[in-house]
Amino acid sequence: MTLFKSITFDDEKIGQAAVSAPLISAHTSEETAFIDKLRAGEEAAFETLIDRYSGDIYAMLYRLTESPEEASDLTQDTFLRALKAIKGFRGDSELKTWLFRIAINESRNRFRWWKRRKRDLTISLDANVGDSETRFSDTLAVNSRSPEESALAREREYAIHTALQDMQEIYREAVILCDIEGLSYDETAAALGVNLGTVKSRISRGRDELRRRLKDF
Amino acid sequence: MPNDRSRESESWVLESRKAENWRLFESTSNIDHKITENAADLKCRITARALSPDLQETAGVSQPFASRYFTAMKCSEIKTELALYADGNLTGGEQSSVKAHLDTCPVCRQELADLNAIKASLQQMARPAISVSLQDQLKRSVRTEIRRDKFSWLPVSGEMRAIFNFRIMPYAVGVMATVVMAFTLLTAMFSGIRDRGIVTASSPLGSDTVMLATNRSPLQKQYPDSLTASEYAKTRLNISSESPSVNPQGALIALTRSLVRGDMKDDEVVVVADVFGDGLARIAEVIEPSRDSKAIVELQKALASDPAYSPFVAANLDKRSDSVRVVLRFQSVDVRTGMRPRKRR
Repeated sequence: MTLFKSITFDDEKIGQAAVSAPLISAHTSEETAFIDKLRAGEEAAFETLIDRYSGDIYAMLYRLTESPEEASDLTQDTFLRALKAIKGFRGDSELKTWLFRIAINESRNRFRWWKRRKRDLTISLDANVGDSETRFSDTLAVNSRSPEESALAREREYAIHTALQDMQEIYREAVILCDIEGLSYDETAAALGVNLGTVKSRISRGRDELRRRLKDF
Repeated sequence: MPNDRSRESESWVLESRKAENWRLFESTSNIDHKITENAADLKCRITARALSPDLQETAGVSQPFASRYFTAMKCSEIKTELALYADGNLTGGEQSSVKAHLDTCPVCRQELADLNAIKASLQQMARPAISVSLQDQLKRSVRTEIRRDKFSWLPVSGEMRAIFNFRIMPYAVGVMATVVMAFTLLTAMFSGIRDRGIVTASSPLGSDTVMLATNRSPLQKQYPDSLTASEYAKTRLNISSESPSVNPQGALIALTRSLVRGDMKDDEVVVVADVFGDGLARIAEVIEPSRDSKAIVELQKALASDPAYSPFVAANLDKRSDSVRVVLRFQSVDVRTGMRPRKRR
């Protein structure tokens, strides 16, 4: 008979194994050439970078801040910081993951002394989604089959928004990156600057916290 | 330790004799289940040796426990694994362990269903869209920064340039502006003035500056153009609350006249003085000391002289408070004059 051996998320060996693994560049030759152009400070390359990733960066920052103005400012700060830091980019992660990490740091720097969790925040369903003209309420439950389901979906998403903002920042970041932005656990760990075990723990705790807050839905 | 092996309708109780006071409550999926408060803390580790055959029969287990529950997990352990299980991010063995627990625990099954629903909701959330105008603004900002780095006259890194631009340059510009303004003002004030004089420092440097001391002629004792205290105070009412008016007939002007006639050894003497309601004053602090040891003494005498010759205009004429602290600066200013320069002794 084999007794079960529990596995904890604080097992540093998992993270250390991931970190000590040899770096395998996922960049194709085209991507490598693109990175070289970025390092050389080519304007066209940076414009391409903005075209590719500004939408993702803005969406992620909007999720973190729930403010289009702050998300816009932080997006600009992110790309300006990337311009300064590109020469130090070693290519050991995807550009998107690297940009996400810069954006996360910019967001943390701005809100560190704002004590953001204590700030009262209400999200209006009539507020526009990001920088667009679309309201939150217009984007909800597009695939619902009935008005009742649409209304329920609308309430649920509103509750999710509120619950996300009420969560601790470390869990909110993990949930947004992994569950909303679709980053893998490894990419999320790289973006947050933590090991894999910590990411797993934060994602688990974040989802569990959401589940408890949304149990009525 | 109670040894309850009763089977209550559809629920049953298992008790492990080897584990200390462990009891496992479980119910079928068709009826309300009873979960104790400590269910999450219960260890589900049950060895085949601890379970007697009659208990196995009671539990409705057709297979020996040894082959079925050898990897039992507790609910608290499952909670932290469920999210990873939902993502398929567990190893094969871990996946099997979780699945085995889920097969027997409706509570954890419900939690997994909840997590999957939340995950689906998160993935379906409306995505904030970045506007074209913001993207254009980003590109402009980046282009500007790139060109600034490329064509900068300052061959330093961007970080150093930022420090220079935002920390040093504002002060440098401010200081330069002050110097230019001061030079321009002094030039404008004294250009074309043929008389050498001293402007008292309590007067603000501006268009309402009035020359109070001149050296037109050492023989001329009367100064027909000299103002009275009240006349002078009237010209400065808009600023006198912050800058007490010097008494044109007072001891301070007399002192400065003597300095003009004589030999001012110092380029600048600066003191802080308290001016009182009757126009008298007292030195509070010497900022720029005089090389002439007697100069400060003479100044103090002039400030605290007879009220009839008070150095400053009375507070009621100046429309100011009874006590004001001022900075007095005496400067030796060389200006163009038609007179032959006096030899310094």
